[in-house]
Amino acid sequence: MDKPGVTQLLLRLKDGEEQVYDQLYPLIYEKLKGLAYAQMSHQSQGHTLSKTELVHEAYLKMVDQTKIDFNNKSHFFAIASRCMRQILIDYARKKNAEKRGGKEEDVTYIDQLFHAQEEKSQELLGIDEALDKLSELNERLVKVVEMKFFGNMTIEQTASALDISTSTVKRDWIKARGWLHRELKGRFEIT
Amino acid sequence: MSDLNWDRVETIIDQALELPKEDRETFIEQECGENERLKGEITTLLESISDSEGWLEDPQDYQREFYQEIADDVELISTGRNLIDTKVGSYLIKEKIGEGGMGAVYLAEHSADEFDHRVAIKIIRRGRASKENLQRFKREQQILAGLNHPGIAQFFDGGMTEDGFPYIIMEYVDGMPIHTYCRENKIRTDVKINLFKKVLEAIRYAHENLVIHRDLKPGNILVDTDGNIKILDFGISKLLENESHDGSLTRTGARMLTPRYAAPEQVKQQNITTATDLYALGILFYELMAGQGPYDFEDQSPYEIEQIILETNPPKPSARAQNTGLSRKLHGDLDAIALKAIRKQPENRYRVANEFLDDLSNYQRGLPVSAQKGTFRYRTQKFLKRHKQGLAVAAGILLLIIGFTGFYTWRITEERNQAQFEAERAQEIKGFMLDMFDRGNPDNENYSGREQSTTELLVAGMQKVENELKDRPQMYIEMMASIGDAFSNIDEFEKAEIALTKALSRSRGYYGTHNLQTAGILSDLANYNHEIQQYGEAEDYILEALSIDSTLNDGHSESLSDKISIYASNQFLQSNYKKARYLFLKADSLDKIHGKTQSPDYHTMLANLGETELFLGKYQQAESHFNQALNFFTNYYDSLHVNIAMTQYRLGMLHHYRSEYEQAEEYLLKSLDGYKALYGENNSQLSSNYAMLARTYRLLGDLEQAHYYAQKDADLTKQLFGDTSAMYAKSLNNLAMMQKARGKLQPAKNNYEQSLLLYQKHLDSDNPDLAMPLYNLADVLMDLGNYDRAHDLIKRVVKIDKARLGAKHPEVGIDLNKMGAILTKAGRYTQADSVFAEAESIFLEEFPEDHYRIGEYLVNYGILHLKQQNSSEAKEFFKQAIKILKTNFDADSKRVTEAMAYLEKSQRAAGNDVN
Repeated sequence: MDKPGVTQLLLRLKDGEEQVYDQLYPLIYEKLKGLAYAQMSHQSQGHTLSKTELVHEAYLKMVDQTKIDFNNKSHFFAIASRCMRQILIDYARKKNAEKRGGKEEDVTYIDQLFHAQEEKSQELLGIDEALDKLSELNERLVKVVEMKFFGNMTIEQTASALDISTSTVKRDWIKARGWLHRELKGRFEIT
Repeated sequence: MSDLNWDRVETIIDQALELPKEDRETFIEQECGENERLKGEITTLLESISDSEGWLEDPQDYQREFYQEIADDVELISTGRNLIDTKVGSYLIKEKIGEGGMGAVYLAEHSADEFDHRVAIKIIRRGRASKENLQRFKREQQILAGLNHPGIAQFFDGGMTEDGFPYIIMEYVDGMPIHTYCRENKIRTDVKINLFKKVLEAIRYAHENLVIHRDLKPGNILVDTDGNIKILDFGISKLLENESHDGSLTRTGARMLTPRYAAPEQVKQQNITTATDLYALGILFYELMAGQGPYDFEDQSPYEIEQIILETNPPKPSARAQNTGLSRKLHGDLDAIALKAIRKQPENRYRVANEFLDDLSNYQRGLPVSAQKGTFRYRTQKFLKRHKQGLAVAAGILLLIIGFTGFYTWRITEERNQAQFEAERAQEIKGFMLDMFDRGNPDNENYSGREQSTTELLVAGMQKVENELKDRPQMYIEMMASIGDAFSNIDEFEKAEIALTKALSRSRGYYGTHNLQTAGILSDLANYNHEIQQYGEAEDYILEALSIDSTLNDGHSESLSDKISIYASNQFLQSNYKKARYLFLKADSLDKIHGKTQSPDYHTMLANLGETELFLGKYQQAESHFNQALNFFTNYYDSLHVNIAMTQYRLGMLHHYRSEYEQAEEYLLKSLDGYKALYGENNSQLSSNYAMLARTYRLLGDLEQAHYYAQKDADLTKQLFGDTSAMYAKSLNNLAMMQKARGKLQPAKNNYEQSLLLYQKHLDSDNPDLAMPLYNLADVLMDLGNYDRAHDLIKRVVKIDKARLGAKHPEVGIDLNKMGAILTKAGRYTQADSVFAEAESIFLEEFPEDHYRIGEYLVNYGILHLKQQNSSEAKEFFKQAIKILKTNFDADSKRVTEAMAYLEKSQRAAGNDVN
């Protein structure tokens, strides 16, 4: 979908049309994934993980900023961060399924040495589950986590997207982090 | 959390976070007041906030892998596209033929070759090589290139791709993994062995060239389209492992899934040798033979899998085979070969491929295989031969072990995996036990230098459990309990109690009080207390066990029947025969419901039931139960066994009670021989046997033999149980009986008195077991002329026996006969007459018409008539009595001559009357 299309959808979102969200979400999801691939392939050797800009880049590429107000922008960031969460969780699930599945061929001892390092995906899945629980208590805490942690947005970007003060973002973040930690403690060796 | 006000939680947290740490607690107290939940929520959350400082701060930690993968994907996609139809070395890449954990494999053709020379190119995507690595990689390649064997996929070349990934060019093999090949083509066991020998030959070649594969699994042992073995990826793991030393790829204490072909030394990250390859091949061989591997790793945690590899002794392949035909084929040599190949210690395995090959060839030619040496059967056979007198105990221990397996098998219905796990544990216990025995086995390296007694072996075993199983509570508990049982079996009571008490307290701590395992040990303790005649304590233990089992298993489990049976024995030992019989019958019906009627345990229970019936005077039922048990036992056991001896003893008792003394003697002597052979001369089992023999000989009129056995019994019980024990009381009673028979009335009376005193010390005043000593003392008192005391005593006997057996029981008849005789001597004729009348009705109904008891009764009744001056009636009674007694005893035996004397007397008196 072209830029005006996405912008239009975004504008309609504030009128509370739910199907608009359902249309926007996969668009942003695919865009982000594509951007990630593009970014990685451009720098084949010695690439750095230029992840921070991903959500922002998507915003710049997908939305006509002249047509959009602040509120629409925060909607976009919220959706994009949620998409990033989704992308990473999908990846972690796939990773996990690979580990458990594939009984056909025996994985050998040596193979396992390589897989041993790939443990964070489990923890990611745990965080995802816990976030669903947390959303029943305070949806904003979840948004802060999505933006800051999954969307790699800065405190300032997050504050601006959610239209709250930076100190509120910091407090929300601390509370959410503490809450998640308590939920996951004992299940993962988190440090 | 639903009733917590989350907004309030957040508000308080926000405020608390603004405060200095030391002020927070007071603030929270103040805010939460009495609301403990709120306070708890806030406190834990604050703790967690402080604990989690720094956590999640760097999202990259979590996303790096994802981006890495994207990068790899991207590269693979791009290079993949590029690779097809490009040249690698002198090869042209045609297609991608596989992708694994380490990288992708491509099919390529030699570009300069006009023949169809195809190769496989493996590009390893894991990590790029440093310069240093590159050097090593080159060296390894040279070694691999030197391997030329038809069973090994040829290594051609190797190098680095442009972007720095190592690749390997090797012979292209069109084939399938060996296990798939065997399964799909339904290859017979013998052919599988031949195929496997080809694998071994290839490995032998590699090992001789100092190359270890390190990563053998069916996936890289292929059978090609011509049926030839080709082993892939030789040495590749080595190439990779070297890389891992440089950094990120090394595992750092993290958990790891241990796959099924890893040898214990790989799990422990110790030296990898040729034996490591042979272990992997051993597992493969096991799988090819049994159709599945030795261990079930499904649903086990990585840690558990490691523990299994390190600790669990594998079951025999024959035990893992899916059908009995296969199982029979594997049993013996093939079992032994497979197990030798996968022993835990590398030095105990086949050290070189050649040994493995030799054993397989020997097997095929019907020659002895080396693997059989030092295996379970071989060692036990040796052990049993060496410890002839300890044989019964060893058999007992092995039976216990088999018992474990049996106990666990019932759980199969519950959960198969669990049962498998338990079976493996039983296997492990077996190994532990045998190891213990080996200390007394000169063939073994741990041989202590001399033959050890069974007690020493068990003591050593107990120490071994203490030292080595401290941290493995399940094993500790089971081993301690079975060692306790074994001690109890060989009359080492103090040691038995120590072991069982240790097992119980550990079990209570580990499994909990309300647990089947704990209940099992309580049962053991009940059995032990039976051995030391602490019946009250035994009852407490078994009742606790019963209550645990019946609440956990809603009252009709299989394990319950064993406990009911122990409780029944307990009631029997406390002389509550009716209750005991009821309980035995209950256990019987439970066993029948569960189809458990073909075991030694079941028949032991039947024999116990029979003995109870014997004591209740139900001779016919008792006999049928004894015979059923004895038939089973003689068929079941190859040689002597305590169950056979015990049942023979009981049949001896039965025949004794039925006055069939010759049969009684026969069974009792057989039983005595059995016990002596099993336990030697100083065993508690012998005491009852001596006593019963003494009484039987007495009734057969052989007083010398009778006295001999009575004396042996008294000596033994005094030695074993002490001079105030109930057992000694019984023996004294017997001895007194012999003294009385020999006319030594005063010593007999003294011994009876002492015996009765001891009995009364041990038993309640209405206990049925008091009947016998009371009767005997009454008898001798009568002979000594102390009629009043004799009458008092015999009255108690009648009361007890009527309550125990019913008013019409033969025993009551005998009691009444004695009472009548006492009353006659006391001159209380009317009373005597009515007592005899009551006795007569019993004798006529309950005894065969020529039974000697009827003869005795007729003599007594005649004497009453004689005293009452009815000489002619008396004369008829004596005549009848003599006739009966003569069919039972010799003409010159005391009973007959006495009766003759009375007849003469009556005839004289009758003559006087006439005159």
